[in-house]
Amino acid sequence: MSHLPICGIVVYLTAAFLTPLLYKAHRRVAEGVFLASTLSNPVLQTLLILELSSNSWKPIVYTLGAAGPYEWTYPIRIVLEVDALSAFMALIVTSISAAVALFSIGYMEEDGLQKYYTLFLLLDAGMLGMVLTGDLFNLYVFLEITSISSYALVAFRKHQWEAVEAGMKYMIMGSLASTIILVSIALLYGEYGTLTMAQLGWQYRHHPTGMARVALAGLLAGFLMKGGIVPVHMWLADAHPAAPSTISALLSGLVIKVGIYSAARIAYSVFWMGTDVRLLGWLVVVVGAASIIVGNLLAGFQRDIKRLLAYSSIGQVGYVVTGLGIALIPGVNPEASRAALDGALFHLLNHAVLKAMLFLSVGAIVHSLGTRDIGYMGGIAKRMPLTSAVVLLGAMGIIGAPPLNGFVSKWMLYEATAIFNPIIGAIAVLGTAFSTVAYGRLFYALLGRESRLVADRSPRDPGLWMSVPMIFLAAASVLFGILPRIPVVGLVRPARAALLSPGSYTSWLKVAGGILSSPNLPPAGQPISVFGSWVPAVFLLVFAISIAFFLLIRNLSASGVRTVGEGVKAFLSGEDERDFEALQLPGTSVVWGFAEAVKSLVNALKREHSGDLTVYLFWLIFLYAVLILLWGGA
Amino acid sequence: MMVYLTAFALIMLGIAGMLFRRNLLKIIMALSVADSGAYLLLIAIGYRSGGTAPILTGYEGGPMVDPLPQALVLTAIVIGVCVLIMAVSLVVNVYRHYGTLDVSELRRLRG
Repeated sequence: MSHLPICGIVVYLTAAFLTPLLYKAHRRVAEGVFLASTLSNPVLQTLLILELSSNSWKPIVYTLGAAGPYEWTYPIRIVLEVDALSAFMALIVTSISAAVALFSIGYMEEDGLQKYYTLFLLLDAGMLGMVLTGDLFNLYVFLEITSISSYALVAFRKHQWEAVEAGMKYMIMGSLASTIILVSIALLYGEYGTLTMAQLGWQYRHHPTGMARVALAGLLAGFLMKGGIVPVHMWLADAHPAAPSTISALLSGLVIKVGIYSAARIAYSVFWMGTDVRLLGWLVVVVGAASIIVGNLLAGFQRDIKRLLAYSSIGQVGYVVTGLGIALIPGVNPEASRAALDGALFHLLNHAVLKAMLFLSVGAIVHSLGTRDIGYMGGIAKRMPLTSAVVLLGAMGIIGAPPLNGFVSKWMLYEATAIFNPIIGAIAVLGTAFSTVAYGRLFYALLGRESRLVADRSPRDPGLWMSVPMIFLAAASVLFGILPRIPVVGLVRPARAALLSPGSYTSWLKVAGGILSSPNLPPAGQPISVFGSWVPAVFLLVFAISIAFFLLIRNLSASGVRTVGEGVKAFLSGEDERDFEALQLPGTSVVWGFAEAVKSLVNALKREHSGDLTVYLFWLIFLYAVLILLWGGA
Repeated sequence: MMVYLTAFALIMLGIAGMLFRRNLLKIIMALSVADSGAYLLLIAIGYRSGGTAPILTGYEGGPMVDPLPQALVLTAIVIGVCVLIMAVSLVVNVYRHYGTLDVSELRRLRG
């Protein structure tokens, strides 16, 4: 048996506890170990994917210790179960954290680094364990490793009130969610006497009980909270901006995705086969659509740039959850259901790349300016061209502008949602409109007139350590946009197939009854229009032509036009000429007309984000209760 | 049966405490109570009436209690203690910055 599945986790955990010791010897040694462990892990996960694909994506089951005391095939020990979806997630987790690790060498210079390295590596180990494990309690343990290290990292700069308050709220909410998850796991164990997820799925298929449904409601409520889905998303907008920017990149890019992954794994691989999950699927679609609206809308009304990105994460994860929910519902057009799942998984990958890139580059700007207010970032594009280019590229990707990767996955989701239900389709498009408003302000701010703060600070592009990861992520985003077939055919489709065939997840169990067949599995076959009518080459051509056109017009226009003086008097109706500084349009005012139109909705939403922890906890219990009442009792 | 009821009563009590108490330390204590309920539930699930300790050497027949939930609870307790320590140390920092432990005062981040 190959030991590849456990290797990544071992590397992270070993390095996590080695770095503080080595730091005592010399800082550079600890840094070396930190980098070696984070950079080698993507290679390990790629090897794992190659091993999987060479074996036609059959799940690899790795037992920790002997398979059983009496040569049983009945699983007793903890198992890691790696199928295409796990491997896909593991590759995302390790690659993004490698890029972030490289960036943090330069970025975190001034903070206490030895604690940072350990927490960073523990966070990685927890996330990798969560996606690779096949044991429910093991999932809980890794979830807690992830959660505790992220609480600590959010409150890392504990001399700032913001970090402390955000960390406190995140911690209390997260711990309540973890307790709900633990209780649900206990209920499942009491019901079926096993913790292996594959076996739980098998048992549930044959003996579905009401208690198991209550347990699923708890697991879903808990993991949706960890994923920052409306209505339990309030902690996210506080916690992600308060953390150091590298950690924000990890939290927004990976931690919430891992929560979504766990919810999907439990809903699809464990519970999908046993019952009609129509109602559950609809619930997931509704919370996903609500996240799209709330997250993207509120992103447009933030002055704090990192808070903008955090709200936008809620909205973008809403797309992923909507796609996952559509595929849960039986009886949907199978092509739409496959496209929804493909789109959701590809968007998960794209959002991880884009949000990591955005948080890193925005972090570099915030670091050099010392403020997070968009209003003070005017004209920074001239001083920090590389960083600003990466920020704007990421913004275009998140909006879903061709030819970037965000467009491809959103296109798949538009198609799928439109076929599934026109209202959900309209919400998906509306979410993009809202995020265009949010990120459009960034364009005005960064490319606009130079602000006094920028002129005073005269910021510069960061050094090599910080530039390389940004460029790497930007290149990935462009590559996935122009050649989407590489990731979609290579990674996303096998992962989707793994989710849609829970029978293969449990097929290694040698129990009476043999391999399970799934009742609501869409028939096999390639979807005909996964990319829809989008041909990247055409859009590139249009893009190139419009740029050429722009340059042409620019060269044709007369140069040396006077903007001030007697000539402009005719346009001022006799008024005095204004001071240009006074005329400066702040980034928030650009979308004034839009803001007026949705003012009442935004004010209502802002009232709900009151900052009161008790209210947030009520929402979590409310979601739990709704899930139990609607689904658990039926 | 009694044990199950106690476990659920503890969980409910904990959740109610988290929802209706305003003092941060009391909220954390309530969280700890809810956790204890979950531990008790796990232990109760593994219990067999009249069972002996699950040790294979010198086994003389008869029912044994399920050892797995005990291992789980041990792990969960360790995790719970970690969370508790983190939470209390954060509470210290909250008091430093805000001068109060009332959660309704902890509302600078909003909107």
